[in-house]
Amino acid sequence: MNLYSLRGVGKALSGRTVLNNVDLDIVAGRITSLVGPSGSGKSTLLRLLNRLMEPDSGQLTYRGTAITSKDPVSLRKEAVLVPQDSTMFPGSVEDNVCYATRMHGITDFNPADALEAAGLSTGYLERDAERLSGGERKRVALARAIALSPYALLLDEPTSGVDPRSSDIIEQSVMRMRDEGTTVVWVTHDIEQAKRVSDHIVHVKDGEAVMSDGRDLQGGGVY
Amino acid sequence: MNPGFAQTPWEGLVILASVSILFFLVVLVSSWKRVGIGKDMTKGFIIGGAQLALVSIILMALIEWEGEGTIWLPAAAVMVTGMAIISAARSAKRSPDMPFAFRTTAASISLGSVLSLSVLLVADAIPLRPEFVIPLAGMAFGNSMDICSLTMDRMTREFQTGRGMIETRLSLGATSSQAVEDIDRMAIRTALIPTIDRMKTLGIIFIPGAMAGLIMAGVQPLVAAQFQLVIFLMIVGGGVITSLATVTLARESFFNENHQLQDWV
Repeated sequence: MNLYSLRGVGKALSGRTVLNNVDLDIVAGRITSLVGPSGSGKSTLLRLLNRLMEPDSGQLTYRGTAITSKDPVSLRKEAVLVPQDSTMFPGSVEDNVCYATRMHGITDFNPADALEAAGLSTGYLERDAERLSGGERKRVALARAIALSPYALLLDEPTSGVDPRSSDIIEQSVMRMRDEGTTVVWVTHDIEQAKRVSDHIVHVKDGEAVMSDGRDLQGGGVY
Repeated sequence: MNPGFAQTPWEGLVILASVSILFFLVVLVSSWKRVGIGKDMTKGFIIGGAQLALVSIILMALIEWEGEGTIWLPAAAVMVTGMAIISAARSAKRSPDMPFAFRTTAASISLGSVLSLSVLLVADAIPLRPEFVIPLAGMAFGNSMDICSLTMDRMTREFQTGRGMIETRLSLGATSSQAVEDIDRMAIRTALIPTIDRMKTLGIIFIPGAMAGLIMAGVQPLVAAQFQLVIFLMIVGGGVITSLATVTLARESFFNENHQLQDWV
């Protein structure tokens, strides 16, 4: 079953075509990697899936119905986007991890569980979030999304600028979530990583998306 | 008895002309020192003087009409509407990129000013007479305009620098108002700090205009101080209402109905 289906989706930003006639299916309960060079439209695609913006043309469906018929706030609770910059909110790690659950009145939730699922120990809960390293921030941002137990995780380069060990922890965490039924869309520059973690790879180039078996992708390396 | 100030416009003009020597001296010094404000100061003085003269002439007419019942009220309403339009346009000019900026500033400034002024009238703090209503409306609209501009300035800056933070919150299912709660609070605080600071230093660093004017006109200083406090309550009350209305209404310019940031931000 497809969680998302895109048919002929187009998007222009500041007069420049970023996505052009994209046809794509995101299979539920699987990891789909979007691989491609900078500026190819990968992040824009994620933002469309999270409804932070709307397509200019084409059809985008979520769970079989037009995405525009779904309330954007409810959609974002179900399909959470973790942006590339991992902005931390002022306060402790616990404040960050609990941000969305407090906002949505979710009480049966333990922030330590989300933190551990993202590969951080509970000792981090009291730490000042804005003083964390890049890798730690990435994991807190992931925990913040995991806290909502979403149907889908939309990850924008969750391991960029992260040390190999942290990167490995994030990969393991996300694959574990996939095994538990979460749909993951993973934007990456790293072709090897895409091959390692994904069930499906989509090659995004010049605003067009092509399903790939990975063999057509330069045999590894980084865009 | 010589009251110490002009009794007729002609006497006032003579006094003004003699005091203008100080102004021309300042203009001369600034051109000599090449400060580059001489032209602006002269222009400001002429425009400001002309505006004050115009308001005074209108006020004189309204005060004269006051004796003929409530005929002055429609004229005062036109004047207050003019104040609302001009203050809203000036405030909106500070955010040229923002769509519907005038609508936001006009509604916010008018709401804050008219409500606070109405409270004063209903509480019988001031009589419904043109010599009270018009000057106080000027103060209310002027202060609300400043507070509205400061609120919009701060909001626009915070939205532009904090776009990542706002979108991260939205992506976690925050509504547009939840995503900018802290920005709203910060904008309101920033806009009101100068007014609150002025209130804290009342009487110590400066004696404000209304109180000074009343004392010079022979009113008991304690009564003048009480009236000044009434004015400050109007200014602060109107300012808070204006600022709150600005952040609420401006949100529609920053976000669309789908809780998405607008392209111009």
